[in-house]
Amino acid sequence: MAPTPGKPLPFQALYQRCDPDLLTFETTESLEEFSGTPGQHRAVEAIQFATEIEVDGYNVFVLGPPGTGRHTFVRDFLNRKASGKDIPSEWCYVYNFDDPRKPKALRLPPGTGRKFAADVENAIQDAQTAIPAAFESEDFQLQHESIEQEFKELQENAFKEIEKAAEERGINVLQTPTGIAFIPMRDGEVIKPEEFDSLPKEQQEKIHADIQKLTTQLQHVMRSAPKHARKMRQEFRKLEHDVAGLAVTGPVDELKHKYQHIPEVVEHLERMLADIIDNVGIFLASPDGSGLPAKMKEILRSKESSALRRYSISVLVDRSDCEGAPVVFADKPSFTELIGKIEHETEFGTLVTNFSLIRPGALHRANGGYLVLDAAKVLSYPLAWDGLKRAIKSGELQVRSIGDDIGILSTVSLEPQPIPLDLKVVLIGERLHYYLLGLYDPEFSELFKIAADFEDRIERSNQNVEQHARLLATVIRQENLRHLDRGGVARLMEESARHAGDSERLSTDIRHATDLVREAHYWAGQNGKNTIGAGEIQQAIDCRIRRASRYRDRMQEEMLRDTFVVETSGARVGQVNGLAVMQLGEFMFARPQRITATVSIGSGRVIDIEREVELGGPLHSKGVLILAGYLGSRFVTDKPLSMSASLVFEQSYGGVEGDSASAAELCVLASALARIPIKQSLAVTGSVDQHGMIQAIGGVNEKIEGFFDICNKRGLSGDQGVLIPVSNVKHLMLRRDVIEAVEAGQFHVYPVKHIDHCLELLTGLKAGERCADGEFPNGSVNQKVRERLLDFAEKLREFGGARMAQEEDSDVGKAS
Amino acid sequence: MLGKPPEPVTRRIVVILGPSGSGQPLLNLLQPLLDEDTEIDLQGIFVEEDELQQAAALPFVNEVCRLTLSVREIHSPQFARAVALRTRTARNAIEELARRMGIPHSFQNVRGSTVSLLRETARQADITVFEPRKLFVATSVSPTLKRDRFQRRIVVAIDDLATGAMALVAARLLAKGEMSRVSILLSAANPARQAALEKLIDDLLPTTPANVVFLSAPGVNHMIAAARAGNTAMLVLGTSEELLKSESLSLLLGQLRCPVFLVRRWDGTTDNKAKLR
Repeated sequence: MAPTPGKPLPFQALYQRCDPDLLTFETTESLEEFSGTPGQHRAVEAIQFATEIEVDGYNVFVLGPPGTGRHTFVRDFLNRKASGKDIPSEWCYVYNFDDPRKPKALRLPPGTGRKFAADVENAIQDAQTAIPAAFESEDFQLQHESIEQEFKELQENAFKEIEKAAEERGINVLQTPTGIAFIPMRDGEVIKPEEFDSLPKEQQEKIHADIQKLTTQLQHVMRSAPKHARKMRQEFRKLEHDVAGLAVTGPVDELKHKYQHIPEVVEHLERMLADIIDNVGIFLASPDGSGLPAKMKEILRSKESSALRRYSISVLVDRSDCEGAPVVFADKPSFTELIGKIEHETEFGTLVTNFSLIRPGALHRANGGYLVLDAAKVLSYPLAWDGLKRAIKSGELQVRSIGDDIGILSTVSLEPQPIPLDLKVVLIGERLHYYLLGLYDPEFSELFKIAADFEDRIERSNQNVEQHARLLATVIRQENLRHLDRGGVARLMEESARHAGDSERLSTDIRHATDLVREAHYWAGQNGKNTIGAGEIQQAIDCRIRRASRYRDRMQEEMLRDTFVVETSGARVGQVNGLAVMQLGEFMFARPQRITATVSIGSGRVIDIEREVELGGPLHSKGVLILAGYLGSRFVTDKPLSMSASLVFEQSYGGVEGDSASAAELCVLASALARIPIKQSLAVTGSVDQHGMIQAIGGVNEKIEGFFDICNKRGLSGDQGVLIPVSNVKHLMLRRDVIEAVEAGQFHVYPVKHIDHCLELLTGLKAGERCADGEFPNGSVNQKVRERLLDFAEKLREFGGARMAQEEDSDVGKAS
Repeated sequence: MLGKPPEPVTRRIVVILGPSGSGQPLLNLLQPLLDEDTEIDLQGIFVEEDELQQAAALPFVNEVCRLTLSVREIHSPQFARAVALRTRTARNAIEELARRMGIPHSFQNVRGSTVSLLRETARQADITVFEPRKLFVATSVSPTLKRDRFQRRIVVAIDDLATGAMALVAARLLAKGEMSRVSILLSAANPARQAALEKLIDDLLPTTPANVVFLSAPGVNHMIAAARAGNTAMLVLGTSEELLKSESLSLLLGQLRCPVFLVRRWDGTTDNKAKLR
């Protein structure tokens, strides 16, 4: 039955009970599990669509209030989806023999990466044995020696020819400390200077000429030595290439055959083989280092392993444990955790890196599947959001160092080959983030075209109740809690409606419900029960409130002690009880608030003292400004509004926001104008429009309970109550003690539709309807308000006329 | 009644160094002999060839620089400086080796003929070590492989039972126990002698098969040809009158490519522990 404005609500209208008898189960133990999220059809549809459409840009932002099971639902949904998909490729990085700074990426079938790495490692180990063995073999030594011998003999023979030619001319070839000299001999001994001088001139000249000729010959031979040495080195190189090739080609060919179905791998193996042959020295042991200090030995060993590292395979993404597409939840979505990083190590005091130090990020691990991120966290890490967008937009992932990205690092780094990216990104966040991103980031809408909007409340239907129950049953099983009986489920549904602030709705804050179940499980244990009933749920609710209500209780205490003055009996002109809601954490409660008004002649301004001292928010100010519009349009349309009024929330020292007190403010203004007292046994909550219609407000249950608590603690008089907008009746889910008081006629809840209903209830007088002549009935509240306003207008006119006359006199006086 | 402990025997090793090299590689080869439990007296001799000194006195004699191939005059002061530098380097190398091994040493500078000096020294020292004359041969190194990769042979030429045994013992020390590096050149005038030499080898190397090469004919020439044929790190010979002839020594100095160890007397211990100094 529709509520009648101005008439008190029956107690049945104050609470919508969930009848346990209508539930089809005894306890939740018999219920099937539920992996979805009740009532979130819109969001589920959106996520489904986003995960099925295979077009770029259709990533999804899951928005909604926390506690609604977004994360759980997304995880379960994606895991189911991913299990039916193929396992994506694995990725490895390998040394780029053409440009070591740009490691190459190799795509491999799933389950192949580690095997390939192990196979290559084995092949290299084989080469480490085979190559030294080949080079130490007698055949190699012989061939090597033979090249060397040939070279030495070439030189020796050339030198011997010179020696022979010298000998024929009586000249000896001698080694000096720094070179070779030609010395003329006589009788087997070096010719003495005086002997030489005694020779005929021609002979001397011949000796000079011979020495000159031999010197030239020697120079020619010595000059050709480097050329011969170069030729010898070429022969050495060819021999070493051939021997190394023979030693290592076998194992590499086996690998090429094994991986012939992957052309990139075969290509890499061929390059590797060529590199091994060109750099065979890497495989030949360095001196055993005996006698060297331990540190030097360590350096030598490190150099060796560093040189061989170029042949290793660095598996970036391994899928060997996967059973479908990956679903990755990145809890710490920093830039490096998302994009990957290139690590460095120190070597002789400098930072160096190589391809084996490339580390994958969450994007790598999720490639081919799904990546789930918390929007707030991504936005909070420097450059993470930009990095994510860049990767999604480009469709490829390149690991870079964050220092390179912002240009502050100049250490030697790498440019790994980018890896193609194919995944869906699911961002989970608050609505505020979604809308801010949409407003300020033009790329956001391009990349996250799908919004999966989770409701904060759903219809209180049988289906949703049942699904809720099943969801609770699932959590109970997972956490090994006591099951709920029907009474417990029914109580939880009622509490859910209360939490939603609407008797016709259920809150989607699953966390709230499951926390109550956990706490009720404890109480059931304390009570020696095997199941959780309505009593345990209530116990949990009561204890939770008690834990959170310290401030409310102290505040009520001070009201009872008259520190904060709140009157709950009698009547006052220009004073009304308003109701303000406060929220501390998750606990919401109301505070009765005295609102007072004073009026005087003035320019039609309603001064909101809260706004003047900047304690009033814009919505509050809007409500106050509407009052002036109402007064003018209702009471003095043919005259200027000549009043000045001031409104204040007495003893309010914090900010005030919202327009839910505007009805109370209008009532107290009317009381001040009409000089009619307002009953202090009633409190008013409601927003008023310029036509005097009362509009819905929030926190109606808390507001009623807030005023009730004060009245109850002082002793209910039977005439106390709260005026609420009619449109809020459907939101009522009041406490048991309030309902009982209403049932006993000790407390009342009045739905109101128009300000006139409020005035009548608060003053006990008729508000009065405007007659055809524009006047209101005599004695009515409205009439008294109008009379006062007209009186102000007249007085102002008189004051203005007198003033004008005064000014005219003054002007005339001046003129004359 | 206890007998007196035997007097420790001091062995004299003489290293002959010339102006064409610092001798450091040669001294490195020598080191295994100095590790033995034998008292060693190390002597270094730097030879200034007469011919060189005389050549330096001739005003018109030029030299071709081994490094730059430029031709320059040899002036006595400059030459003297170069020789002094080489001498000092050689002295320092001997001193350093002796200090490291904790053995007494001496050094002297001798002017004269290398061949004559060799002959005299080899008759007196227990082991005489020298290097042949080097050519200007450019470095013949593989661009890839380190020099020490190749196991260079130690060639022992045995012609006589007594000196052959001593040369083999010395060679075993120089090989640091790696007998696979040792090649034995056997040269014997008659089969009986050859058999005796083979038995000597078996007795001295009972567990290690020796790499034995039979020379087709006796004589220094054949021995030198065989030594040159392989990758020879050093040649170890027992001294003999035949070997100490001028012609033989000249051949060794002029034809070989590796250092030579002339062993007159050596009976080192079988274990290769280094002496604690």
